[in-house]
Amino acid sequence: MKTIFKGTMEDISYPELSSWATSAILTTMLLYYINRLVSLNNAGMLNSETHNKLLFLIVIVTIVSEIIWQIAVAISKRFEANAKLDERDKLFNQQATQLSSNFIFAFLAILILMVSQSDFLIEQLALNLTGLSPKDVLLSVLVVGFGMSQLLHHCALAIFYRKGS
Amino acid sequence: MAKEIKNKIRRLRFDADEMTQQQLADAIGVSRQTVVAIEKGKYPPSLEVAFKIADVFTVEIGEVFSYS
Repeated sequence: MKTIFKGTMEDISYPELSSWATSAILTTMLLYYINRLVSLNNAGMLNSETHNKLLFLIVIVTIVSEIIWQIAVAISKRFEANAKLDERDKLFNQQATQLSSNFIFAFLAILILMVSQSDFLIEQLALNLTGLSPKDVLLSVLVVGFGMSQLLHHCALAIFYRKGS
Repeated sequence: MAKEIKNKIRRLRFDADEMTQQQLADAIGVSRQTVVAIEKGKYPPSLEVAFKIADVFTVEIGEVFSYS
């Protein structure tokens, strides 16, 4: 970890700082979503309505915090924010996209396989989230999956910038 | 022992009146952080950028990069 964070703030480019910020937001929101889901379930308050409210809240808060963070990052790196991406940025972006695409394809393939097998498997996916219908569980799993693929993309990007690809 | 790409950009910048990383970055059309990464050997540049760097210092590409 020491080598990852070696260097000065000036050595961190705008796209790199932006990736760290997005990774932090996505990690926080994913953890909050899972934690809230479990606590609602334990309190016996988990149903379609509370779940949809939670999802809506998570999406809105993620978008708003992303906008605020990106503005803050753009202000702190105002001379770089409008600069075009160079070959290094494009290469790292391509590699990170490849990683997250592989993840999401594998994730979807496993999910489709599980869902198409039987209702029993979707109940297994529910992880004892008793108040939710199979549709809600599927939605929840998809949200977590897409969130994780985005997290993987931005974390990979940030690490590529720090360590080289 | 595994071979790796080494470069003499720091030395060449020093010889070119202490050219800054930003000046070099502007001359070759990349960000300053990319120049830092190339100099530290963290990022091997494309052939085009390697030629542009050699062009800035008016030397042959082999005088900037070596593979040893």
